[in-house]
Amino acid sequence: MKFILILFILLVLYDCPNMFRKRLWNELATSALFITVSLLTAIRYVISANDTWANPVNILTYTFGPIARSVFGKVLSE
Amino acid sequence: MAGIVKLESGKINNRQLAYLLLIMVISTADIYFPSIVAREAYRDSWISVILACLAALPLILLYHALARNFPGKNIIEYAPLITGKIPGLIINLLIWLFYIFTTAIILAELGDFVTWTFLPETPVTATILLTVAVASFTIKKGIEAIARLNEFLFWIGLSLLLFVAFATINRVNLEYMLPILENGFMPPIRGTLPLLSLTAEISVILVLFPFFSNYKNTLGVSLKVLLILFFLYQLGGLIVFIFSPNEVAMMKIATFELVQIISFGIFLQRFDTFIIAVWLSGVYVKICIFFYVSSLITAQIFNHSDYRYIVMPIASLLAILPLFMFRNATALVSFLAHIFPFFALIFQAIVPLILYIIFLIRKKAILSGIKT
Repeated sequence: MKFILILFILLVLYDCPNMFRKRLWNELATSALFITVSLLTAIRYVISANDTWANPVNILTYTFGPIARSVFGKVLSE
Repeated sequence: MAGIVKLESGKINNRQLAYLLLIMVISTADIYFPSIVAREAYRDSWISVILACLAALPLILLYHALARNFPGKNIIEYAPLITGKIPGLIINLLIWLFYIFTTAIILAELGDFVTWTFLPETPVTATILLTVAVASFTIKKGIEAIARLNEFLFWIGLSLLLFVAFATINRVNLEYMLPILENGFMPPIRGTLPLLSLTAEISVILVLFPFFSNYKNTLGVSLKVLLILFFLYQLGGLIVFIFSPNEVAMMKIATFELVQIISFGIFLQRFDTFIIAVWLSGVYVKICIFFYVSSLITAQIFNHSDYRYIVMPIASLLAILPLFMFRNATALVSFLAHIFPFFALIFQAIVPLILYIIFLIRKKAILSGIKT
């Protein structure tokens, strides 16, 4: 498992030197943003897996759930 | 906004498009959806299939009506042209989120399916990480590579699906079909929604339209795909008449239970391993398509020179999202049945419809703006 994780991290960072050499700052900044968000999400997943608003599915459920309930009505509430 | 033609020069023909759309929809339709539809529509699942395909028809016409007016552009490029820069950017970001979340949901389905059927001791993290890593390399090769890979896998997948259908057809008991519409029209209509959200995944053509080498004939191709999907859904729906609607509604992955009972005499049995390996390849192609579309949209929104640079960072996000999104398999199935149809149809039906209505109202201004 640890080996797979290390391999994956290396894969993610594989393109970064290329972008740096070609001076693709826009691409590098976007990649850094995505990798940071992924890391923060991973850290949060490791620290606590409790459901909160930070969980994207909860956001989707709280957003689209009321629509679902109003359409399905009684069937869902049962 | 980066032009899509600058980001990818590959082209796919109509046959490859048809295969891509078919495998994209049917690969996940076979896993969870027979039970989900049976839970809502009960013995009238076959009516839900008819309603879902009828409802998908105007959506396909809508996608083509939109795309025909903007040749060489995809929805990410023409949304700002139709609505204006800021609303267009908001729509694009929402579409981008939809594709990222949908890819993560498909990965979660794959992870859960593999863990539940074959590898219960393997951490789901390993399954998802390896799938994402391999998919990243596939999509870096472009749309043509995905289409060619799919050309190879499609016939194997389709022939096995037909094999499962014909190997079990003698067990079908059509008495389970009666009484038709026992509880009125509402149960089949409720069963329609999950199937419609799945069929409307054809909406990826809104993003991929500029890559079709013969885009004038794509409407015919999409309609033929819908017709074939109708027959394949009905074949999958036969499962309700094999086990009984009650049993199917209680199963998690009804099709897996079905392939386990296939046997010829006492010496040819346990086809499930082989069949599921092929299904997984279909889900893999679906992940590749959605992952590819997510990468393209990201590269367009952030004005990149090449979408390949953003593939690995998105892979890192996709590797962690499916683990984080669903607490367990029940939460995943419940989400697919009750929330996903509403979440998906907003982006598959409502957003394109709003764009088309605004386009019709401002048609002259928009078209003259493109020319200048």
